[in-house]
Amino acid sequence: MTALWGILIVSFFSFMHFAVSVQKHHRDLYKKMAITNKEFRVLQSVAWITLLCTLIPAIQHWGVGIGIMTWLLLITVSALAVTVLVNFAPESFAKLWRLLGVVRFIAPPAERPQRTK
Amino acid sequence: MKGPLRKTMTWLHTWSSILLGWLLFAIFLTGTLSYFRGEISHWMTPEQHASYVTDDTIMKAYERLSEVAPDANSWSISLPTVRDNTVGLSWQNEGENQRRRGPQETMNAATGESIDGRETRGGDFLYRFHFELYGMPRGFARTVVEIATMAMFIAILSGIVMHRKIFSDFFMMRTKNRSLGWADAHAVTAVLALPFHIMITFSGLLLLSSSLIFWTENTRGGGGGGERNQAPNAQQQMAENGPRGGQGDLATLTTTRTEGGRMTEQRTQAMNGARGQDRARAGADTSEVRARPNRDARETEGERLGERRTRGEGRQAARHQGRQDIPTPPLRNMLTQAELLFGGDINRVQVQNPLTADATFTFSPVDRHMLMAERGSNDSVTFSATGLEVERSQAKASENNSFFSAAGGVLHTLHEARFADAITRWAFFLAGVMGTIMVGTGSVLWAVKRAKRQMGQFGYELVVITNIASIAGLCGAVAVYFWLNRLLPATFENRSNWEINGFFVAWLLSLIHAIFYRNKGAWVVQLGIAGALFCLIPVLDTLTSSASLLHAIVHVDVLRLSFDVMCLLLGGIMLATARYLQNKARRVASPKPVTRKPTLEGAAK
Repeated sequence: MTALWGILIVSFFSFMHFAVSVQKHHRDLYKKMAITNKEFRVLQSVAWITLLCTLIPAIQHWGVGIGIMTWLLLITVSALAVTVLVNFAPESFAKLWRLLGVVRFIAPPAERPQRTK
Repeated sequence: MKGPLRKTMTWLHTWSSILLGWLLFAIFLTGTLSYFRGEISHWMTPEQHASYVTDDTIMKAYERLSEVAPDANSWSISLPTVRDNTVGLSWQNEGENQRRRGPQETMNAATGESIDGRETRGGDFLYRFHFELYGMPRGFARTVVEIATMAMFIAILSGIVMHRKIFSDFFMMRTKNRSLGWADAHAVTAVLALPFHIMITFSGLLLLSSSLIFWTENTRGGGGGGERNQAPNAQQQMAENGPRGGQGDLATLTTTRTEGGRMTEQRTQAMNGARGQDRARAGADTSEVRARPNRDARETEGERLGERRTRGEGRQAARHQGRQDIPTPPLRNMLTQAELLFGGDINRVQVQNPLTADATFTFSPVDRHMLMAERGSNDSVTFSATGLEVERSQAKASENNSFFSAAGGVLHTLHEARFADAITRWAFFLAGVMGTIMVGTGSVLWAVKRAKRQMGQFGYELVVITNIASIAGLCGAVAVYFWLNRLLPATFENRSNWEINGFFVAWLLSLIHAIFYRNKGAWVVQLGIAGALFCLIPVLDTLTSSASLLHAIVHVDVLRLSFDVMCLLLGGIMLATARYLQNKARRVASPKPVTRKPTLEGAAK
């Protein structure tokens, strides 16, 4: 059971990085700044590595065949959560990103998205 | 249709899916609900809600069985598990057909009283509907569903090809734009749950594949039926091989562990045995040894029956004399031991020769650890009446281990999520909901894209009407099905039929409503009603059940709570969609968007 929650949470973390590596969402977070190549690479690799790490407990839990399928389903759920958050609650996503995003150590930190009046 | 690949694929995608999209929506929705088939059936028999597990449950079951079936040959107790909170009791009387399920009843796990549940099809109706529809010849309906599945598969593949930038659109939802909002909802639900869509469609395709074979009667009958149809096939096969594999047949008749539609080890052995004499003899021997120690495998049918009768009478006489002398077996100890041994809940307890000194108690766990295990073979441990462990057996890997049957087994398991625990089941369910949304938005998208050009044309209007009726209407019909279950009196005649009739009547009403109000907010009204009905289900539940929702929370009735949460979730999605549509209609009506919030993008410009 803990393994399952672990998979959900870590893959959520990983999908956050995927989402930020998309130009449009990157712009939402960092305003006009275009995404640099280095940033993109770091985001993508962090995302892929953490995502693949979650495959291990899934395979341990269910075996290879069923494990991979269930893993895909579980990460679908967290991807859905990220999608909803990014699109319908961008500000809470930005908050979470400032809290969790690994890239702030490498790239300029995320600023509070400006609200126009 | 000729042209660049992407254009061709778009054409294929559009037309392969719109023709069967409505049917696919129904299949997807009812199929998704079928992941909670147990939950639905449980919710729909509220008489069972008062039941909960106690430490004494197994003793209660034992006492109840000694009352109702003291003379039975064997008892079978299915204990409450995560997927079931009542106790199922069934027994086999002397001389009855061993293959058939004996008399049975459902027992309250807490009080030991028998439960007389209301007559309902429960979740089985939705489950059956998703691959056999309703009121049609079975073979025909399956073929239709299979063709729809094929169309779905084509749509998925062509959809992948035509989608230009899967990754950059991965998280994108442009809800502000008129048709892009639908397109995004369609694409996002499709791409996010793509592995699930491919898996579910492909496995569904394979499960029903034999329904496309028209030229042999046999395969058609057993086509894609999975579980339910394999046992009759086996029997038929045995009947055919009867004279040749006589000993194999004999072995089957002498097994006493056969219960329900499940094949036990012995029976499976006997079945294989029917193919060759040597194996038949081996099967007969083992099953003899296992079933009854003192019986000769070579005796003739008549002799055996005669002996059984005398033995039965003798045993009954002995029972009546010595019933008080038989001490109650230490069932709770056995249960704890068995649970420790298997590291999980025990599902089934099988009692041979109950209420005699040579009674045996066989415990089997819930989990099937092997995905490829032979049907009916299972881990089990057997105790004697005094509580000593007599025998342990392990699930056997299937003998029929060709690549195709192995792959088929895995796909079957995946399609039905048989291995799933709570979280995985919810993950499957959510993915199924996404699939349903994908199919629904796809059909809507077809109409939205053509709205400007084809408004008023017959084909377009037809699609709009069918969209409303098949998407919003079906959601409402399912809600009505649940509501009727609780509102119709429990003793109503022909109750389960009326629940189903209500389902179809609601669907028909939504169609009529859609015909007249298709451009006047039929979407909003119908989705709103369906959503409200779904959201009010917990209220209905607590008012019309034998135990309140509080009781369910206190005793952690997971089944019932998951059903209520599921209804809230579905109702929430429907209400949100209805609200979104309403806002959009308003926005279209008033040309200047007034209530538009300043967006980040807008600020950037």
